[in-house]
Amino acid sequence: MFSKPLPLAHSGLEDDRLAAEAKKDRPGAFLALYERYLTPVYRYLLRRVGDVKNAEDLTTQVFLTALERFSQYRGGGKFAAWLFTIARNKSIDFFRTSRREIPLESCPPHRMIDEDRTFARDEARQIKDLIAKYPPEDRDLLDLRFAAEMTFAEMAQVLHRNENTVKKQVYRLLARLKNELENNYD
Amino acid sequence: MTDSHDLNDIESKVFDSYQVETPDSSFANTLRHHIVEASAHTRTRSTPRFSLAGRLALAIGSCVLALAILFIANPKSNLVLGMRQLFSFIPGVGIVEEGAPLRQLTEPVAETRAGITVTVDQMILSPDLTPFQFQVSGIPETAYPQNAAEACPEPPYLLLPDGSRLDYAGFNAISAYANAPSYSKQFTLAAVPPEVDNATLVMPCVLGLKTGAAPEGWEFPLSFVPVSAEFVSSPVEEVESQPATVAETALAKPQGPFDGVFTLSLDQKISQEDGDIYFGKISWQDNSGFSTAMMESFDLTDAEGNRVMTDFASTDPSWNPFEAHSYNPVAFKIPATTTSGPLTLTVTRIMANLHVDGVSFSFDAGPNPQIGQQWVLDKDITAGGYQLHLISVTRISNGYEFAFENPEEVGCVDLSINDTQYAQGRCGSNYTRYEYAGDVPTGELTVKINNLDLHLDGTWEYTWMP
Repeated sequence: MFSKPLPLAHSGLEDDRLAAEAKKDRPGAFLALYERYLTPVYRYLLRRVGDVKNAEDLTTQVFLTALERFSQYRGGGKFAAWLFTIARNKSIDFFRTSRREIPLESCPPHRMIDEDRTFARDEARQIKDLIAKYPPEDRDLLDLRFAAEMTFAEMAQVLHRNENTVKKQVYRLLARLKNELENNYD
Repeated sequence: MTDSHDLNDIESKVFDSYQVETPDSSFANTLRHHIVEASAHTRTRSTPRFSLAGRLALAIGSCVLALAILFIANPKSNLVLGMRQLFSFIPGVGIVEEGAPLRQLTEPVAETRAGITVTVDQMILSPDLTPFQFQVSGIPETAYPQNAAEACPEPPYLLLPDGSRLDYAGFNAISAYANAPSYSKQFTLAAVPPEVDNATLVMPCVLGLKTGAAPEGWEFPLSFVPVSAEFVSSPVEEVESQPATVAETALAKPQGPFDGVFTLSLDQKISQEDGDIYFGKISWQDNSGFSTAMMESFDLTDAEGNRVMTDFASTDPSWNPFEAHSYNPVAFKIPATTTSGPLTLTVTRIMANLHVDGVSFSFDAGPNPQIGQQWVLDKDITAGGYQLHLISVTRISNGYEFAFENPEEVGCVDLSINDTQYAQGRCGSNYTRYEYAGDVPTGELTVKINNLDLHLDGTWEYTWMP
């Protein structure tokens, strides 16, 4: 177990309470889910597509699609997995349609936060650069874990894999990343 | 492999590296507004405001669609072979009886006021519904509202020559992007009577824009003519499976109580320029106790095993005009760019609702239970073949909450207390909560278990040549 728990932004039970209220014609409940998930969804899509405009467009599509298909969500504490399955499919559609892949380093600099002012931010930049060189399937794992802030169980649902397999794959990537980061400092 | 304890630090750093990007506040506000607006239409859709005749027309339309699926679904039926040729698919309308009297706009109608152009570019008048599409362009960024209260509150309607009006009837699709200079919307109105050949589309304000920021009181005189010979409709085809590669494994957990209960089929294909729409169904055995089932987890792959994206996958059980049939419809669209080789639909999980009979338990809440009071029951209950574990019941502000520890497959547990009608029910995988508008039941309470939501794992593959 990690001693420092990740500040996950959501809880399945509370999501289901909001989802149940939203289904009873209480739009405020869906808005509460929107407020809760906007940033993770946006961060996830920004990481996937690499520029702000497309991330905003896809984020819009994700939430409007979720609203349209809301009757299909049946609880079970899996709203995050359901929502990020939509988000992941939208990002896959984006690349399929546009037939391109934008590496993170090509993001317009004026739309990105300046991360060069402090050591920590410099390290964050290094981490991002290293991750940007990973194969898409590895980036997908890290994006779901750290941008979407998903639990391993939720990731397993989205990726249709065993939870332990997902956990091992993420640990393996973190170990690789740790080694590469240390080598950068050496 | 590196021990996970060694990775605490790098995990924190990676997490921090992901936390620097946040959505722009104006984008967040605009999207929030779009959600509020779309929510309003969704609610309207659930309680349509059109006339009895309109509802009847909708019901007939649904039945036509349902019949199309119902009959075409059974390829062995001679009746099916006859019926199949009677239907065609029209984009924006759905499956209609071939030869149904369809009309369209004589021509698109547009008007520009204060730099903003509204164009009514398509309207199809079927015997059942009137879907139409309009576009708005030339929108200044300042015309978008910052919150829902500022937004145009009234959707467009159709004013008929006799003074009656046709209101929004649902099925809208939105193509809206934050602060974009243009957008398009699709709406569906109730059916226009066949003798009416002109009407006025009234747009009290421009949907999606801030009240007062764009001209209001738009009126578009429309006239209707029979659809032209070039009007695009697509024949409904039967999906041909590949006998050599079909693996008709029944969908259920292999050793579970419902092994072999569910089957999945694809029945119809509708070819369009931008892709193919497939209709099918998830069926379950009669008398199995299930009332609904839908794909919860599925994948579509090509011959090389690459994932094929579906444009939409509607398994909404609310569309269910025949009350007692044992299936739910499945629908999805595959973009035209898909490879031409065989496709395989693999379903790995379904969500199904199981009716439970004759299972109940009791507890004594006393004559005056207090909010927050809890009864620890710690009781095993067998329902639907599953052993549920009821941990406790808690008195909440307007009712009771039941806490369960259930098998992973069991989602919501639907209950009723003393057969009393509740005002609001909520449930999750491990709780069920009921709130009452009036008096909360007290004393000796009999709680019946009515239904279980089940999430059933399994594998079902269907391979066919697109």
